[in-house]
Amino acid sequence: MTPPHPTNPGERNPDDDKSVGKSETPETTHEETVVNPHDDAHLNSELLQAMAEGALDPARMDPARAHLAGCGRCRAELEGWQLLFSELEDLPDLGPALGFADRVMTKVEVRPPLAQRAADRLRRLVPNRSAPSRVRHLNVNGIHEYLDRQLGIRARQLVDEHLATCGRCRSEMEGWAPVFEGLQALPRFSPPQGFADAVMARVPVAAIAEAARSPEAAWTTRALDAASRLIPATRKGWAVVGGLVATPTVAMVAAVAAVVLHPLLSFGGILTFARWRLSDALGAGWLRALESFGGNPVVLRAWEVVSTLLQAPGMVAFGLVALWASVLAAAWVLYRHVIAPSFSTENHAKASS
Amino acid sequence: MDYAALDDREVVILACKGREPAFRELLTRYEKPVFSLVFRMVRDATLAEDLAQEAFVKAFHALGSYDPKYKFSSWLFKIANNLTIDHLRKKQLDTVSIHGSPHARSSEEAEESQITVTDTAETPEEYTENRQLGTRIEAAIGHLRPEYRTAVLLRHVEGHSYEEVAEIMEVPLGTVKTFIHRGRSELKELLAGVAT
Repeated sequence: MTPPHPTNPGERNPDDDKSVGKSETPETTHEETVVNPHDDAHLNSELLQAMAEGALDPARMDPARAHLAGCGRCRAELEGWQLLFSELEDLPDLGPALGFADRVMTKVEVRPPLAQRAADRLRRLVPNRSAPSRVRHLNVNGIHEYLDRQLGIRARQLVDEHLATCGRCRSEMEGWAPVFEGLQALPRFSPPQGFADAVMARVPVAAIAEAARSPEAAWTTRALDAASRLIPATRKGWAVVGGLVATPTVAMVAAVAAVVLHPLLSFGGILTFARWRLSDALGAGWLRALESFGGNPVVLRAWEVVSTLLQAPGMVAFGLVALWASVLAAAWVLYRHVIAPSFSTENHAKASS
Repeated sequence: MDYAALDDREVVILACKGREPAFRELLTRYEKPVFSLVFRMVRDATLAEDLAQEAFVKAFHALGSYDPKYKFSSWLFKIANNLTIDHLRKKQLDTVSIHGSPHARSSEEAEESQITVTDTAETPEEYTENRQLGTRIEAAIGHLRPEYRTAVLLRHVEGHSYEEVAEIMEVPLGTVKTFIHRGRSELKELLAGVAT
């Protein structure tokens, strides 16, 4: 906007030579301009701007008004200034684009107080998923959770605190409120009269009860339900089932391989060990028995019978029992070898001595 | 026996024993919620009544297979929702535009295949329906996709949790959250559009 002036810029006005308080005259003061307005000189722009703003003190106002009453040029210039000031006052307030403050703050390093830094660090160490972090603004999901009453008490408090100070989020929240309020206020409709009777007319109560009581039906339903639960419905489910089946198999194969491939162990060695252990046990048992019942004729007779049996075909039966015992012993050795290998080595050494 | 004092599972057990009042108690408890959901989905009272009836009859016939570890209401809503969605899909296939055949090769052909609506006056039933579903929010709900509509109604009108909505609609939990979020967003836009 060009400054208001009755003459064009650059055009020399003959009255200019007579103007009072010209800025180009160093010795001319503002007071002089006001004190001597009755000269033929015109009012300068500084004084006119002060008048247009209403900032001229009353002592200087009256002489200036007197001059204006008789000077068309100064009146026109004053009106020009008044128009300019009016237009300037009417200029709208322009705001920056959304997020301006955030963009500025990202470039400003503000060191928070020590207590807040400590609290922030603690919060990072102990994450609380139910409470939203102290964000600058709420996102749409946060607003939905707040309005849908999905937030916990603490999280709601944080949101309330934020809303109390943030007009933007409050406005956003108010934009969503009609949706949630409208949905919450929706009524339930009643079906037409006779709805229940119409349904019951199609429901054979006795037959339904009979079907529900039928053990076959119940068993079939339960079996189908159980079977359907076992069948995976997704690829992930099939992968889990496959893993569950494969894992023990692989583990068993690995265990057997570990035993068989052990350098100090072989099937022949296991059988020999079992035989030694069995003969040791039998020998020790007989010795204890003989010591206890040595003088007893019944025991001696029994010993004779056993001796006879050992030389007779009954030996086969005894051998079967011995074989069964050796299998048990072998299983035991295998078990201890897998669980505690050092134990089996120790016993092996003991048995060979 | 005071059936109203029993919970759903106990009432179902009595129904399985052939007690007719137990069936009626279940109807009393759920006829409004089921009818409301179906009515808002199909927006036709007569059709909604038929579908709601069908849902109850189907549920009662299958009471023997109801697993008490699930909520009865979820199970019933699942049946009603499946029936309604099936109907809407079938209806979509049968729909003919009143503006004429989409396969028309000229404006004359399109004009010939147009459906002429001769009487636009509301029947008493239509009048009631239009008043019931005529509010801004009801009109906006009517513009939602069926999936969004079901999810939003089950959550906000029936008060089911997200997990229950997922169970009723037989979709993953994340999908339900997406349906509800998008449904609300569309409602906001639609309500803003009506307001301006």
